[in-house]
Amino acid sequence: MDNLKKYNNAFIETFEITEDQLAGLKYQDIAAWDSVGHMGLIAALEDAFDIMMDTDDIIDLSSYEKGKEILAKDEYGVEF
Amino acid sequence: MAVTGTLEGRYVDLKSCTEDDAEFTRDIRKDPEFVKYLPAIDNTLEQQKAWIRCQREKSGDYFFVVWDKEGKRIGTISIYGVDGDHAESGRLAIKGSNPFQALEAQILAFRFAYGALGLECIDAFIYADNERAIRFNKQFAGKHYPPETDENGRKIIKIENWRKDFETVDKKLSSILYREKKKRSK
Repeated sequence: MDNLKKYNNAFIETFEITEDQLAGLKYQDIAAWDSVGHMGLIAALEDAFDIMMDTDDIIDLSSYEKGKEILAKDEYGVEF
Repeated sequence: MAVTGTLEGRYVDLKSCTEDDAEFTRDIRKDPEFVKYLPAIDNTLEQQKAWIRCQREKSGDYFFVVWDKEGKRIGTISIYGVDGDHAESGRLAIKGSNPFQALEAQILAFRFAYGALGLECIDAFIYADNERAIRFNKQFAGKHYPPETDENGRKIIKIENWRKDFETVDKKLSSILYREKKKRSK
């Protein structure tokens, strides 16, 4: 499975949403992406990419697009 | 009962409510996000100040204002009704800008309750349709009882949070909230 698919699946499975809801999705836009959902999303991303995210990055991951930027950083090395 | 000093965290601080917080504590309870699930406050600013003066003297009642690290009030949280080694938690209303603030506020309140107060169990009562609060509370490994109907005909869920269970949860959540170093394993 390519990285974009893995990334999308983390959102889709954590928040029980569909792929067409991903673009532009932001923290607290939907009920499922609250503080609890955020922790679930981080766990799903860490599991999918076998990484451990820094707390600043966990907090900064405030949108679907921002998450891709963060994971693409050298520390995590995820290529989309 | 007022607590001297600040319960300090990395993302938020808890400070005992003072009369200076009267307007904020009134306003947040009128916020549409909370008004559906918390008892409404219908009083004047002076009445709210009087209530806070009483609360600060009331034994076994701890009411904190949650402050972010920029010095802005973002919510309230409370431990009250202390009876032996039991108490209730409530008055939880936090409008955090990042996902760690509400979590840490609850952690700080539980640490205060189980540590400084030496409590063993803290009960919470949440309306059964308040799915967000129920999801939030589930992170703290409390025991959730089936809904019962309150005097107003609303379904309400009792949650027991035991000190022993919290200690495990505290370690788990702290391992995420207080990570220091980036580590790439592959």
